[in-house]
Amino acid sequence: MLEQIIEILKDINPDNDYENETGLIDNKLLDSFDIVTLVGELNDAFDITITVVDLVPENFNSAAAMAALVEKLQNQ
Amino acid sequence: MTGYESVSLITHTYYYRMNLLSFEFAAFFAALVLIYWLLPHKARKWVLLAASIAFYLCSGPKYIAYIAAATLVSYFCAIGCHRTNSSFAAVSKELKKTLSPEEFKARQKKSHRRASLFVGLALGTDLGILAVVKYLDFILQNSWSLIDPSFPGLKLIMPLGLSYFTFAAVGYVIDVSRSKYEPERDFAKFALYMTYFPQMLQGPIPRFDFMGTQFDSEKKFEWQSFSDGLRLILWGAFKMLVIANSVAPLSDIVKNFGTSSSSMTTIGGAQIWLSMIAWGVNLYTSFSGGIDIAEGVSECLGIRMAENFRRPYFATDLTDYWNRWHISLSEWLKDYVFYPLALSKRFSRFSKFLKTKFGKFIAKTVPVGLLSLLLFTLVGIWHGANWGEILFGVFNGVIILISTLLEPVFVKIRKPLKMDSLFIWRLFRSLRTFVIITLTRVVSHSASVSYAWKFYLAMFTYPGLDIFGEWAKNEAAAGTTFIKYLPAVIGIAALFCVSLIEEKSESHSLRAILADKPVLRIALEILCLVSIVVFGSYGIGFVQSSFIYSNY
Repeated sequence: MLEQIIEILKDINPDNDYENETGLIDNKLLDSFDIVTLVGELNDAFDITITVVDLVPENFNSAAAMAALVEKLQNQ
Repeated sequence: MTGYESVSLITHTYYYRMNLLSFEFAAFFAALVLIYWLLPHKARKWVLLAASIAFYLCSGPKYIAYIAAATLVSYFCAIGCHRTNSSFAAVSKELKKTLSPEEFKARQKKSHRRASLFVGLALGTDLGILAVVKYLDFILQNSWSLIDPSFPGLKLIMPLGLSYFTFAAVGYVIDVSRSKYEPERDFAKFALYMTYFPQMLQGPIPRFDFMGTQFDSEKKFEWQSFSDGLRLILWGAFKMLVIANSVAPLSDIVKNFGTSSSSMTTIGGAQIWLSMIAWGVNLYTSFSGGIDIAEGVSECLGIRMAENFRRPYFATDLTDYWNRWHISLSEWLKDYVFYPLALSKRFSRFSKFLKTKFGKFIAKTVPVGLLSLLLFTLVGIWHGANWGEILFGVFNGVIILISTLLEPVFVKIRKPLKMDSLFIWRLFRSLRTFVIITLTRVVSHSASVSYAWKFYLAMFTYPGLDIFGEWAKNEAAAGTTFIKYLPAVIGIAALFCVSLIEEKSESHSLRAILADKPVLRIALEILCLVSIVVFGSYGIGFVQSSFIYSNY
């Protein structure tokens, strides 16, 4: 799952080191354009529904955090 | 006029308002602080609520009906929505086992619909009050006046803090409906969240999950926090009294040109530029100064409010500027308008359609760019029910949309030249952003949109090199010398230095920087206080130009 998320991220914005970066939101490496596209891609790829409540920096600061969010939503 | 009468920009009708920089407020605040900290923890919430209602009553007793209606409806509807959602959630597992998938979906839909009714009733009431009081007159003036040109308008008076308590209520109800947190059962605490007096004049727009817990938490009087609050009040007063009010006559050149308040008959491009730059300084120092005072007052009561400004004139582009200016409004619009629309299924389908037809870049930028345009139009509408403010929002949205679409081209130019790491490029970007925001403000600051077009033309075609022009001659005739503006110039230089130090430091806070330098801190405090006493602009002019955002 993590690899797939990193692929999606690279496709949206190839400029970041998604394997190691843990401050994608805090360090403003992803903007609102990226986030909206990313949510759409994650929803489609993993058959989940990310809502506005899930849009907190902790869920999007790293690829690993996104993977944890996807897993949580899949188990709901 | 007495110390706390002010003029409503919307209705041109006089009404009372307790100004945070008046002796009346100082007495009110001193008494409140004393009672608040002397009484036990359990009584403090009630003291704050009583003080907030008393503060509100000063703006006119009858206007309390609006905030009371918004508070009551939002309180009960949030509870109703939560009860509907939780009673369905409690039986949903059981229902899933006993009902067919279609029957289960129908029950779920019914429950959602019921919860939505509560949300709809609350939002309808809250936004309905805002729409009627703030915008109905504007709509009627623009429609009914076509049939009857003598239509005078409704001249409704805006209740104090209308936009702030409306947005506070709407945010709370939506958060509860999203199950972000449970509804507040303690009515006094919720009423305090809605009416909390420091946020009533200029915001920041509060969030319940941030403020509510602070009203409840047990606090002990701490001199450090109290004195930090006083220092913030001092800094805010410095910004307002030494800078904002001193530059107000300059910024009023554009605002008053063509109205009965101005005797000027000609105006050149250089004067318009000067006046608009002064307006940028005036707007920032009066708004952020007012927020500093409100936050300082709140901090003296042990309650921290959200940050509303982050040195906006250091922004490198317009998006960055809006992330630093009136942050609580930008964040509110993002959370309750932008993201709900951007994450909706319809929006997602639109993006996918664009992706298949025009490729990834268009699919990513066009829909979000259009939403940004909508968002900035709303920012304009929020600022005021007139075409100048609406166009100000639209201009900002269009510029952001165009710059986003052209970003790949800019990147191609910047990257090989390694411009992003150059100081001169960073400086240029900040200056460029300041110029752009100054230009977009012309339309909202002019007496009418038709004047704004003429100003734009003059700014680029008719320099009028006598920079102070007819205005300076009038000032000289009235016996005013330019020495009057020297404190403002020194004040702006001091504000710039403080902002630069904060921007460059790791903590981004002068408070943290001065924490271990008590001698320097006391010296600066004395300097600040002396400047306010010696150079501060008071009087009628002060009252009229202060708390610019209090009519929103």
